[in-house]
Amino acid sequence: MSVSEAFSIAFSSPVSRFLDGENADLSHLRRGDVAFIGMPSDATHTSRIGTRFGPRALRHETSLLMHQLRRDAQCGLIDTASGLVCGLADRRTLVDLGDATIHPLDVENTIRSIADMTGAVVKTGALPFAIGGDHFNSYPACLGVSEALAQNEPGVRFGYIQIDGHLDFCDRLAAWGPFNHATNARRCSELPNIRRENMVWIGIAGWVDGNDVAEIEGFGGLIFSAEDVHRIGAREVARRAVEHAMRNCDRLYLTIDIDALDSGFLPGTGSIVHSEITCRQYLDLLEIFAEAPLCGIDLVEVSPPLDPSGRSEAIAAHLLFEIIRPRLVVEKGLPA
Amino acid sequence: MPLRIEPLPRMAGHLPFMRGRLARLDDVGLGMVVAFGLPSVVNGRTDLAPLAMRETSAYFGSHFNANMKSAMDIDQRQILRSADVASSMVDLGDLRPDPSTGTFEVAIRRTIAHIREKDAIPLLLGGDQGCLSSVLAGLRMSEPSSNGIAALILSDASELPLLQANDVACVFSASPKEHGDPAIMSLAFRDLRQRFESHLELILRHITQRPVHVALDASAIASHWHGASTNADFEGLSLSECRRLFRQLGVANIASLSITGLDPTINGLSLVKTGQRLLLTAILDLIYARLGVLEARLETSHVCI
Repeated sequence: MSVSEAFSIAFSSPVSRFLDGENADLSHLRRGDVAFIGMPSDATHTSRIGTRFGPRALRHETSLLMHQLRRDAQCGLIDTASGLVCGLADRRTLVDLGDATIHPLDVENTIRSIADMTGAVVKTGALPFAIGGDHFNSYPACLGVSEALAQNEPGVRFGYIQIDGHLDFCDRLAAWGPFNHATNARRCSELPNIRRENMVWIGIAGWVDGNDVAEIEGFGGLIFSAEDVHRIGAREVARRAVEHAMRNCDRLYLTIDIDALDSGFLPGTGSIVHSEITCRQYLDLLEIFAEAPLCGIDLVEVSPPLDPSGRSEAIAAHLLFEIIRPRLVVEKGLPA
Repeated sequence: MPLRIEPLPRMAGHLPFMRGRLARLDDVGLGMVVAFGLPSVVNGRTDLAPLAMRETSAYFGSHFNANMKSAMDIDQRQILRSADVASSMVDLGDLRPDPSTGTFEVAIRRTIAHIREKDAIPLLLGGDQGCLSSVLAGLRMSEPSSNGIAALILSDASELPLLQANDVACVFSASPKEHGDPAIMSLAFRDLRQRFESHLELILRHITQRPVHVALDASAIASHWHGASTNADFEGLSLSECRRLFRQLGVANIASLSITGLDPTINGLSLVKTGQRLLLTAILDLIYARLGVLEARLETSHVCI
């Protein structure tokens, strides 16, 4: 081993990248790439802030994760679930485009900034993966996907799955207006090429607004509470969710709010719930969604300052990896 | 216009329990849930718990807030009659120790007895669990001709309260102790987990025809769901188990409630106070079931696709 090989860039680099992917701009994107976009904004969260540090923390955590995987891959990775030997795919399929420009005092400009980035990614044929930030940022990420699809493929309709402890279906909050972390799902439901009757929520826990539930179920949306996940099973819920979201649709938008996990496991988030959903169940959900025809993904609400142990961002990094896993891990067959 | 229905930032202004009304003892009326704090401490800083629980309860103040027009328990698919909760919930503030003795015992007894005489439900926000004997004494004072009283205690850190003739107790813990007294039923959390229906029946039979005090201590909740208690225990209840029990108990003759054992300076596994939110979520189920303010909503066919 040479001296230079003895150093790990993932550990020593002053700038980490999502899953230690390439740092590149839009012109380098190719069809099939996954393009990460940071959305370091928590100006639209109404209580415990700190998610603006989420993208930075996840760049670091996912880089460490990839470093460990590459190191282990030299000896041969074995998927303990399937028993198969695995290798890692070319990392050039992962591109970190950097952060969208955030205007903390100008939410409409922030919406435009994020939407322009995810939209530009869709136009290249790559998959945008936006990292928050509070959950409101999911709306501009989805807006960009919607606009680009409308332009590229006017007839295309897409379904929507939201894993979350909350519905986020308020129309407006008195002190915050229509743009905040409790309104993102409703704003997404208003996009012209999303099919509202194909919208699915998974992991909703505790007390919610009954009028929102009635409205969602009234237009044909589907809500799986945390209790449903325990009762029916995470994989089965995921299968039913994909089936519902993809009816008469071509693509699927997936928004991953980490607060669906029980706060006993993951306290580093702005709005905790006691869902009793475990990391294992969350990974089971994502394993199914990873195989769906995704047109856009976001992962939001990682708030490192609220969990000094670093556990929350470490768990979120594993969730992020799970959804990308089929694109990164190549099965090679049974061990010799 | 009452303060609580204004679109205030969540923690602004005074923080009475559940953003209910601040009241004096004389204002207590029939059927109300009357919260009062007991800033007592034996170990740690349980004296800070009443304030912490009031702060956390502000989150649930939305249950009778104009912004949340129709609060719904998504798991049970039940709607809360918010107006009934708002008119039923008052907060007396914190108790002061009796000036002559410097202790809380007399004040607790008198307060509990006074609230019960108005046919209201005292909710004691402890504090440490040492208050239980005084709570039961207060309950006894207000029910002089009864068949005794019943205590249902969920705690892994409990010393049994003083019982008198005709009193009964049902004590849940991780490791039940044999008391050699037929009036005291000791049950393990895991037994409740494994045989819920039969154990519930046993409990209800044991405490029947008596006014019941329900005491929830933070140590009853398994430690992997929170970190708010000094007594780590991984055999304890989960929130859903606790809620299930409380929903069923709520229809029984619950006369008074207490939450104890919360130390807010133990940070609940993070800066976010998961433990105190969890305790309050559990106790709200008992309060709402006792008040009868939940309405069943028709189940949709959403899981049948």
